Amino acid sequence: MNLEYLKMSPLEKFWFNFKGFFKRLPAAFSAFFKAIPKKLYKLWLAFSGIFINIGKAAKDGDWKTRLSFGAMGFGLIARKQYLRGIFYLVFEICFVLYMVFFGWKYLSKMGSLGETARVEVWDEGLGIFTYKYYDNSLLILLYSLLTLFIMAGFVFVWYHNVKGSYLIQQFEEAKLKLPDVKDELRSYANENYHKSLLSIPLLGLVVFTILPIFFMVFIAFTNFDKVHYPPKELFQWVGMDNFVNVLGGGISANSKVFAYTFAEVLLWTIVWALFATFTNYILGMIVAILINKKGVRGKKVFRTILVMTIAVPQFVSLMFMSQLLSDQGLLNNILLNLGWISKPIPFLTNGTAAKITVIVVNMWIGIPYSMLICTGILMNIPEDLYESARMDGASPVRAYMKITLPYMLHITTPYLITQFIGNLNNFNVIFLLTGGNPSSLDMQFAGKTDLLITWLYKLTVSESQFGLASVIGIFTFVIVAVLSLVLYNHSKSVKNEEDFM
Amino acid sequence: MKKQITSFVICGLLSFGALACAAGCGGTGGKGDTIKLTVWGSAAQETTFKEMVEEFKKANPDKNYDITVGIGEEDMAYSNVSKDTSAAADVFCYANDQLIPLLRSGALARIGGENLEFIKSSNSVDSVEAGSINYGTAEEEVYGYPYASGNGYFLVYDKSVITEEQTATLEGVIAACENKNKQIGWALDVPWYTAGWFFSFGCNYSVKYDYKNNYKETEVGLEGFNGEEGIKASKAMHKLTLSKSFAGSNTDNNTITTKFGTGDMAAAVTGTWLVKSIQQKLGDNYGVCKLPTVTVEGETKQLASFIGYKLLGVNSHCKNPAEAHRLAKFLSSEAMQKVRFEKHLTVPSNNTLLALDSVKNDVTVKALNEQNKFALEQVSVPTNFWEPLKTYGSYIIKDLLNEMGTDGKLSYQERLNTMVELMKSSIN
Amino acid sequence: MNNRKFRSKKGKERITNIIIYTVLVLISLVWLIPFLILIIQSFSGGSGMASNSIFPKRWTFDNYIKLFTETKFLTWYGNTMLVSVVVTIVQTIIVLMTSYALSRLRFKMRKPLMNLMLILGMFPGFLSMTAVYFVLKEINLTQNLFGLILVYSASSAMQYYICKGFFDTIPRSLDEAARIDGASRHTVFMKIILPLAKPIIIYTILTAFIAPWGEYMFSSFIMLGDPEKYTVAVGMKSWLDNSVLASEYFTVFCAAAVVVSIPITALFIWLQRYYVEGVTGGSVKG
Repeated sequence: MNLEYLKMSPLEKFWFNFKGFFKRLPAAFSAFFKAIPKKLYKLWLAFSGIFINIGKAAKDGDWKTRLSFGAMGFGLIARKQYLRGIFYLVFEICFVLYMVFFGWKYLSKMGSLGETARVEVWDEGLGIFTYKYYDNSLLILLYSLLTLFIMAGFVFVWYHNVKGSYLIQQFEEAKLKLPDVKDELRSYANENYHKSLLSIPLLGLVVFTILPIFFMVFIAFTNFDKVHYPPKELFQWVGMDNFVNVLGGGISANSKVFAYTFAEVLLWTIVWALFATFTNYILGMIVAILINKKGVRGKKVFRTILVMTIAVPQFVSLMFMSQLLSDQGLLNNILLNLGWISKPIPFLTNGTAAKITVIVVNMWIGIPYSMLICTGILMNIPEDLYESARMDGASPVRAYMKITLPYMLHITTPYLITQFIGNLNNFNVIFLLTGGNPSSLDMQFAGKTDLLITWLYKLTVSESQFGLASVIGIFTFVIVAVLSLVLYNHSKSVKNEEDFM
Repeated sequence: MKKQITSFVICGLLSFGALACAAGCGGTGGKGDTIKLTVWGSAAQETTFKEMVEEFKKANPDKNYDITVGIGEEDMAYSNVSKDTSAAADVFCYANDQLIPLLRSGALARIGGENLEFIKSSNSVDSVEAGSINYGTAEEEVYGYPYASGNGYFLVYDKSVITEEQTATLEGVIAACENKNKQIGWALDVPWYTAGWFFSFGCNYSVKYDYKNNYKETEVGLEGFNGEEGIKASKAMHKLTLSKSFAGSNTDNNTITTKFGTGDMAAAVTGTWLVKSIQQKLGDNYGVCKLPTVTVEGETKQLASFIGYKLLGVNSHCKNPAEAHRLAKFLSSEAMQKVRFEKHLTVPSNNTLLALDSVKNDVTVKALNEQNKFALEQVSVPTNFWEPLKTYGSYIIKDLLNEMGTDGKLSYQERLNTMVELMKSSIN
Repeated sequence: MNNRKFRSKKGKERITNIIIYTVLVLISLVWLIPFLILIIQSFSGGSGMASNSIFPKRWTFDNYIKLFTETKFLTWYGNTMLVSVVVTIVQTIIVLMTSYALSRLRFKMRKPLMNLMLILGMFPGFLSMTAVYFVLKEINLTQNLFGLILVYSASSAMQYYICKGFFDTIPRSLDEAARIDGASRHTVFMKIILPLAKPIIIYTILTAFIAPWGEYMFSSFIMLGDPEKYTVAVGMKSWLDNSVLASEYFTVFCAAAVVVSIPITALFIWLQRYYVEGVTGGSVKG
């Protein structure tokens, strides 16, 4: 902090920081990419560290430690470290059993993804055709991946077993007191407390989130579609074909339409996410300001009315809205009946109108949330900011533009980022409200309001184009992930998490 | 070393346990005398299904059945079943346009022997053909027990608004409705209905499959869709949509029944599934007939339509295939088709029933049969046929097109070309 | 002179207030009207959406009677309630544990882990649905409520975001003092942090409890074809999926929507204060 900064008024200081955020943004992006080699190098260092440790244990370890290389936990059990020792041993047994009875069966077929899918046999006795199912490419791929995950886990545990054995050996050689079971248990409430807290959440995450994502990524390299559909047919590895198709490389005649659809849908997804995020945010803030203005009565009533939209399950209000706004819906019927319009208003059937409708309905659903959040934060804006603005003779609107809005933006950046990302993947609003319609002849399997995510849904669920859908999924994921990682790590409130108080 | 030996012993014990369990778990199936089956049908007929299942149990008192009735719409059969064919119902209903997709996913078990003879002897040829490939050839394969024919559409109208003569022509229907300020419901944004207009003027489609390669589409033929015929069809549709009586887009079943109830609608194109509820609303004024004719550029054509069938399929993953076939056979039998006809007006596929006076002389069935003369069998439709057609229909409704592409609108020709291109494109 | 200026200022304020009240009342109307229509439709004797007036020709309780006697709604309601309650408990515990670890403990993988979880949340969830389904199938939990519970709670660690933000605002000096007195990390978490975290616990409970009522994709996939195991979302949508039933069931759908909404609305209004405290405390810091 230089002197000039210290001399600024609170308002100026604040503006200085606010502008700085955006000025530094490009630099943050380049820093993100520049940091990649460094990160990789660090990763390499960590890896080589592992091998050095193993080497040391192999060279300097006594027979007990060396035996732990094969029989896990042996070195620990032999030195009376029963808790960890037995855990390692049991883990190894389970792992071997798993590999023998389950894992190997699938892993050995991962390269080919199976040979025979099913056989049809005429059963004379029963007078029917019977079917025998053999290899299922989908299951082979999924369970091979699961097995690879478990193998990775095994290697990880095995390494800790070796390292642990060697460490205990060193303890013994140094004549230090070895920790007993009680000490060990105690450590899981203290220096190892994160392990006890995080193991179950992470296990769930690995099995039900990370594994499926890996699965999806691998599917992008196969020809899994409605013709190659397990369990009836096998699918095969096809390399980069799907990627070429999506990017319009011209493998098949229509991949240009497909690439155009991708571009169009991507554009609308970004436009939608921006509008959906900022309309909700800004209008929610304004509503909050109005409700919380000094002298306004019935704060609770107004707030409660708005909050009711949160409490009614979203799918109910969305499906209801879509019925309400349809060309044959209640709203159009009433207006027609009153003679105010002569043709139904195409809320959901005209491209532009439908886009506006989804944004407006999304406001109806989202404003109460942002209103609640803003309510709390607004009260925390330092009064001295307003004071100095008032002394400059600023009008309320100006004070809002110069103080409230930037302050809120600044302090709720993380919230905005999560909202933005959530909107990029906002399945419910589009799927339940318009279903992606109105459709267009210029696009394939997509309508004017389809987001990437609803388009993906159509490609997988109704068109069974799993390979292509996975490619689009990967593209979307990479774009969103890089964008938000940079924004997220760049936003100041994260950087300063330690010195908040 | 001792520890390692122990570990081997433990390992051996554990694996023995696992084997024992596997053997034990596998063993229970053989002795069990309860036969578990699931069957999926349309939600609209759920109660009827349950009653029929009870009948089935009564008809087989020597066996102990445990049959679950679940919901799976006939026209959604593929998307419901294909998610996990092994968890899908043992017996499920499907509309015959779902046949190829279902075959691709391997969900259907082939039918042969006595069962096949039963199907062929009791049901109309068309309905059996609808559930089979290469019908009547040496490579014939049959995959469904037909239970309904007449999955098509016709014109339902309010006799107090439209006279019988007026229903003969589209112009007559429009004039009558405009006169009395009533609506005409015709879902041109549902491709199933849109297609009929094109067929009327001579458009046609064809598709060839590579049977060896899991029914991959090898050739999609589209005749006339982007030619003169298609343009005439567009003009004919425009004739309807430009009328102030045209009800507009989203005219779904719900809209039609409601608007007949409120008296806003006087004519609608729909099928047997809605007849009972419309009859309730219209009472004696319920009128039904084949689709009208339409005149474009001095040429008068009878409007055509699609006609389809509904069948019961047996899941190829079924644990108890013999029993599943027995159930499917029972559910598609003459007696059960009769129940369906009486309760839901589902037109049977059974020959004896079709010949019955009560069926033949039903006004609705009569109209349907009349229309069937101008209907195309809905078999082997190209996968990408529907979506582009639906979009084209919605363009017509929204009045986005005209013949020359003037007034900021696009021309029929240009959009029809795009439509055909999309229909032909197949991304597998 | 001064007086007049004062008065005019007061007058201006009154005008401002009138404008504000008008705007607020208008907003409230916009938000309320769809719900009023929903409630009115649930008492309607007609067939609903395609009619042309807000008020039905005939008022009736039939839809509610039909809802509870002729449909499986009660079963679905029970299913959803069970799933919701269990998920709420599990998810709240997991979120609290994760957030505490990420907020207070310092370990090697902390930053990468936080980034990882942030990224994972951006992944289009249903693309992995098939994989999740077959993992569940292998452990025999498809067409099973516990399978659904497992799926809902398994990824709850990713919801750490707001809760961790809240923990960050609790002064660290509190735990340090306790640590000096010899308390373990575990004791600090249970005895110091948790009692202070009431708003965020309630916030987590609320969000976790509401989610299963509205979730459609996973539950419809996992409960494929077994109406006895449907949650309300899947069941109610199945009425509208069949276009023949839709005309008959639309008003019943509205009645079901009202029944589903009542307890959640009540809960929300009751706990609103904590929700605001939790979400503001948490989202500012992130």
